[in-house]
Amino acid sequence: MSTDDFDTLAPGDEELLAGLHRSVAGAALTAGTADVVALGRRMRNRRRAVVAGIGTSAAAIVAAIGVLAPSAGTGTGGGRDLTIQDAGFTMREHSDGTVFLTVDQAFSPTLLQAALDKAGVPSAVLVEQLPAGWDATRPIQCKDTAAVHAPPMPVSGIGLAVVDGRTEYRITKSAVPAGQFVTLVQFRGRPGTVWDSFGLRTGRQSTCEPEYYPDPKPAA
Amino acid sequence: MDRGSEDFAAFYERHRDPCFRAVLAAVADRHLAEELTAEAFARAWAHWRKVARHPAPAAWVVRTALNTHVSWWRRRRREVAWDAAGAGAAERAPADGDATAVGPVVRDALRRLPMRQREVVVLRVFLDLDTRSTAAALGLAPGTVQAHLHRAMKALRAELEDENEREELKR
Repeated sequence: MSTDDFDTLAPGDEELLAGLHRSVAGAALTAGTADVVALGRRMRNRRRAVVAGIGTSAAAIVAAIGVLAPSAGTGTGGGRDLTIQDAGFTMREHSDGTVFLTVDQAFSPTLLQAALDKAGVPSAVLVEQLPAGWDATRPIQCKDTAAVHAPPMPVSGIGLAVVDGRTEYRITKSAVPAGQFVTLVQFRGRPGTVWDSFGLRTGRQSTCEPEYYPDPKPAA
Repeated sequence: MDRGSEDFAAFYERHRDPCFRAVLAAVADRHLAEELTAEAFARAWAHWRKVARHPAPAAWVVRTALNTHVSWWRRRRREVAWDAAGAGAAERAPADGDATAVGPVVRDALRRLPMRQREVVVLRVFLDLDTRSTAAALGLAPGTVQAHLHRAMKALRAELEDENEREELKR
């Protein structure tokens, strides 16, 4: 790295900069060009779908709920292994009681709620249209109230992972404490922008007053 | 493959690792850095006509990745990583080639810098952009970039000195 146009370099700065460089030396990104292009294509298509107003059809909703019936299970290892998809979200339930969920930018909260109810996940699913002027590219959450608020401690077994470039919510049903609900709120802003807020809430969210997440505290 | 795709592929091959290292230095979590960097490149592909005209497309990628990280961090505050033990190990594990004492301390300090200072450091140090290019990439005046860098270096230096003092006291 050239330090020619550094304004001032104090004693030890060269070592400091070299240390930073060494700390990540040799690290390489594993994704290939094709992976990145495929992810980019999916992003672009999702954005176009939302802008075009493509939603979830009633037929798809009915079909998806039907698939969740126990008789539709494919069964692995003596338990259920169910998948629903093509209805604005994809949900898989493994035989060990873990639910894997991904949602698109346009999904029906009614359908998803029904699917989660059917799977026995204590949950609340809401879609909130943000007022004009709100920016759904910024993190947004529902304001805490006396009845519905963030739990005091995070719970192991409720989380998310990124799979093939998409956020996948993972829910262990038995990990949801009594009185708490897996809560997914999708805030929709101007066309093409949404913010999904996911986590456990104490109390069942039925209405939501949006607020931006507070800015992180500046470094001391 | 059309011309735009060829351009993007060449850009990706040339900048993927430097961008990844810049993001890795800033977030210190290999898996997260991979996801953020890949997603930022995917966004670059989706907006390639615009990004290709950016004064420093690699800087655009790193900034996008770091901005996405802020969102992640905020969203994950109430959540736990799926594999808590594994994620913790990833967080603590040193990056490849880190055989220096200065690495972890400075990396932690880097993560605590205000966003703008951190952006300036990763663009200047890891993408090797000069002041003028960094300023163009961030939409700042060159003097402002220098000021941010000066403050960042001062903070990093102070962290290192504090750590050295703590080490001295232990002995």
